[in-house]
Amino acid sequence: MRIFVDTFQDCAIDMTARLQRTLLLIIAVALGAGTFVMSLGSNVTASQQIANDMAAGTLDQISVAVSGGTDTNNFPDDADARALTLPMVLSSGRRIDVDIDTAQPNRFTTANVDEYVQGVAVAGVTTGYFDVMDLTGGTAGAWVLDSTQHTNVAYLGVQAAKELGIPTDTPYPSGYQISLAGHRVDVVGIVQSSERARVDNVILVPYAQAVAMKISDSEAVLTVRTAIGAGGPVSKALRQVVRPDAPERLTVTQVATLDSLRSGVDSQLSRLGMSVGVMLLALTTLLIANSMIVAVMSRTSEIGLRRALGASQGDIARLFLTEGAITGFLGGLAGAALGVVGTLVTALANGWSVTMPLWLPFIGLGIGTVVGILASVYPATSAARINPATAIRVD
Amino acid sequence: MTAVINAHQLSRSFPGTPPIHALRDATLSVEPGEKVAIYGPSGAGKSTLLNLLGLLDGPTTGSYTVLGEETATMPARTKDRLRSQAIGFVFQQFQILGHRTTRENIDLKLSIARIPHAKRAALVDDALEKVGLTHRATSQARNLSGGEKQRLAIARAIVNRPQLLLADEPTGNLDARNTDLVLSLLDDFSAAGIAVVVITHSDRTAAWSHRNVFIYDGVLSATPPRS
Repeated sequence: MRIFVDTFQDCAIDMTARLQRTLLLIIAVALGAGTFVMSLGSNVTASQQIANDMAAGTLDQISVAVSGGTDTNNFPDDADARALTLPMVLSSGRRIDVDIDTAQPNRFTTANVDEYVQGVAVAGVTTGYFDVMDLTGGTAGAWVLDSTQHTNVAYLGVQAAKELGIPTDTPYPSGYQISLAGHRVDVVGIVQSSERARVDNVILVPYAQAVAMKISDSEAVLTVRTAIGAGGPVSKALRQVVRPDAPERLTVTQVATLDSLRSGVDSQLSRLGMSVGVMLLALTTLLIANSMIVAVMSRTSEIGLRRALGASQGDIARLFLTEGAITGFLGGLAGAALGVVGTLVTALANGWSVTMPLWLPFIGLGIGTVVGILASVYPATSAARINPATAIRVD
Repeated sequence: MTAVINAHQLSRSFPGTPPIHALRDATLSVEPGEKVAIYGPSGAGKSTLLNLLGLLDGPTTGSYTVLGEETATMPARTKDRLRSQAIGFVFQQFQILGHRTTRENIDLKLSIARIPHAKRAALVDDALEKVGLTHRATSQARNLSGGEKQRLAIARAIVNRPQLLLADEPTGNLDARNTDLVLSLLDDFSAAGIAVVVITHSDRTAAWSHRNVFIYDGVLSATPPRS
């Protein structure tokens, strides 16, 4: 133990005497280790973010559209219910967007229908659409959206309500009406957007009514939500369940493709982050090794003196290895802090939630120390091999 | 009395075309407390002999015994131990670590010799007192004068009370006053039983010693060569 304390004190004296060089080396290690930690931390955070985004938006969500053409009755009236008969299907709903020129949305009090409100969209949805997209707010009574009768009701997104002069301070504004395609329509609720669907500027009307405006349901989309991981099997069976008579008329967006995309992105991010970090660490190691070789050369006379005073080859090697370890440790410490801060800044700048394993800073500390030791192996070996008889006479 | 060192027909050659015979059949014995000056011009082989006597180098042929231990088959670790515990070196160029204090320079020898911390302070104080540098204990070594630096080197060499002191031109860079001071110190150590071998080409130092050994072209002799 004493031998290590002595060596440590020995190094501390020499390192503080050459403070500039020591600080530069520590900074080099800090940058290398910090970049490694930051690349790992950012990678974990970004991967998690991508995984979250894709899982939330896509992995449990399947879209069924019409294969093509303008035929009507592509989806049976009970398409939502048919999809729900499949195991692991949690909800299903349809939506069809209506051209603004066709819907001509307006305040009911406006007499001239040619001056309809711009900046809003009109879509016909089934009740299930509210569930699929997690829409909230004034959604009570949404069963009317499934009515096949000509039901003049509408749910409004917040922005659409404002455009149409409907108060948004209550989810159920009472007694307000708007005009759609020249018909008076009762406003029955103000709905809030979710992460799955932005409906701020949308007027949502009964699905059948929208199809009637469009004449065809060829542009309708059935969205199905499944339990996590069930997207693949459900998507395979979905067409057959919805249209057993003509499954080819429907197209299912395959989840499997997106899943492999997600894992691909994750894997590529990991490789990219690791390779950048490893390359920087290699560069740092070389820089430190180079600096220590120069230090060994400039301290040849001192090495000769130490050997003359009785230091063994092992003592000389240990001196430089310890110096490398101390430099690496201090650099790793600073690098760990730098990496954590860098990861936090990157995450905050991108609006990501930070996902950083607790062990990550310790990895930076360990890597800094290992880099310091590795970089000093060759210089330490060279120093130990110096012939004391000639070294002692070097000026 | 057992000789501190006993070299018998030591030779040291270095490879080359032709090979360089730096030392040939050197035979030398030094008793405890004896002051021996190895006198010769530059390039005569003095430093080669000192390296062999101080176990910094090994002979090509011949045998060498230090403190009764034959060195031919001696492991490197044992040679290191002897250098750290039984042999002290003093060099012409002082060989001190300028960025360390006087005390730290002396303590380095004790650290290498694995002397426990508890005993070191007293040993360093004693060495500082012997060479008259107590008042400079905390000074940076680079700030010492030439004479003080050499006294520091001597203090470092004798701090753990070696039995053999090897000095390579210890007064080569000193003025007359400091030369006298250093030789006086070496006298004290000799009187205390330390064998002192001094390499020199100074007549003053040669006159100070008990015995002169002359070296020319790698050959030792008890008498000066006929010029």
